[in-house]
Amino acid sequence: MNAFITFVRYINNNLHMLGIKNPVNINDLQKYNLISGQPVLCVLSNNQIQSLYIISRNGNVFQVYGEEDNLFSLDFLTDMSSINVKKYNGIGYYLQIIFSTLSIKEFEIFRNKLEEFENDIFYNHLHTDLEITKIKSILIKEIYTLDIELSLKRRFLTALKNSRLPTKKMLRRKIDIDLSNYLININTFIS
Amino acid sequence: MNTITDLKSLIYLCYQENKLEELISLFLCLSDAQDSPWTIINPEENLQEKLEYFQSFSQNDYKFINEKILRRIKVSLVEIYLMPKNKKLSFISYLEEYINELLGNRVLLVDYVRFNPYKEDLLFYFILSKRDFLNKSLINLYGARSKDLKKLLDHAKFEKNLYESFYIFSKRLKVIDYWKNIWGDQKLYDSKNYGIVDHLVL
Repeated sequence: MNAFITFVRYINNNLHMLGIKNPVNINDLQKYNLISGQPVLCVLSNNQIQSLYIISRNGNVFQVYGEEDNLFSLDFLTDMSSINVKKYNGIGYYLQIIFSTLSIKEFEIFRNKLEEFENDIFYNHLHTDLEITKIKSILIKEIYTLDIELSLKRRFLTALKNSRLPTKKMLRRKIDIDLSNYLININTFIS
Repeated sequence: MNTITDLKSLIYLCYQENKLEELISLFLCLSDAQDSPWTIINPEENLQEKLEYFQSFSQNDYKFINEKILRRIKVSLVEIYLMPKNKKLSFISYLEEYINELLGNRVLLVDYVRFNPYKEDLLFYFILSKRDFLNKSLINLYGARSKDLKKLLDHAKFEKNLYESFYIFSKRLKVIDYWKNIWGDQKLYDSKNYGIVDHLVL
């Protein structure tokens, strides 16, 4: 049995976990409303998912799939997210800059379109050999094609153009995960 | 500060040398509450005055105070910010234990909610428990804040999701900005301005 921290890639019932060969029962996870770019902790055995844990933004882990809490019986887990974490942090940094231009009301109004936009960005770019310096220009191109009001597009583009590059430390920041209830240790994957 | 062992031994050293302020600042920074107002209350002190005084600083003041205290033990806020959650949490229980031991019969009061509407309003609970020793205006002030907090969170309509997209996370940050612009301002907590709360519109 092996455990991994990795990112989800999901669009139109097409579900993958980055760096992991698709387990035979991956479609069992369709019902958990996973989104692209979402970090998860997955325990696999014989190409079958034994358990899946959703990692919340503050690092708490919630088991949503599997009857046994397999993390109790494992000594190590492999952090596959480290391969893509710089891109994840970089995309997240710029998305936050874009979304910070919205008011609370606008967050409600544009929710579906902009969550879809976020999902598309992670789906299309997180697994690629994307250079961090190119994220900004990719987002600018994607915003031009977005089907939203022109004034909103302008707001997004201005915010992006005025933004600074993320710092190296910011980019290297690992996925927060609280495993204090387990004795498991994290091995960082080195390619 | 490179390893967990370094920080662990530093925490123990602070405890041995009675460095309560350093332990408190470290505890708050590790709990992502580095800008929360805090004070230590002695049983013989005037609670009303103390409460008014500790709210008379701005967000940056507290961040600066904690940063300055941590510099005394050669720990930087950035280092703590970048530390993985797993590591951060591993120190909390030690710190809580040492802080409680060093406090003795004193009380550590932290206003987590002033700059973060998602934290629990422990200060308000404390104020309610000490209502016999406090002015009504002060109790009303924190009561009004508690109501505004609920109103703002209801207005933002957050659904419960185990993982939040960057979109929802950004919305959360926006709500924090709204909150800071209202109840983060120290002027509201000054006894001269208690009435100002009535004019606030969320």
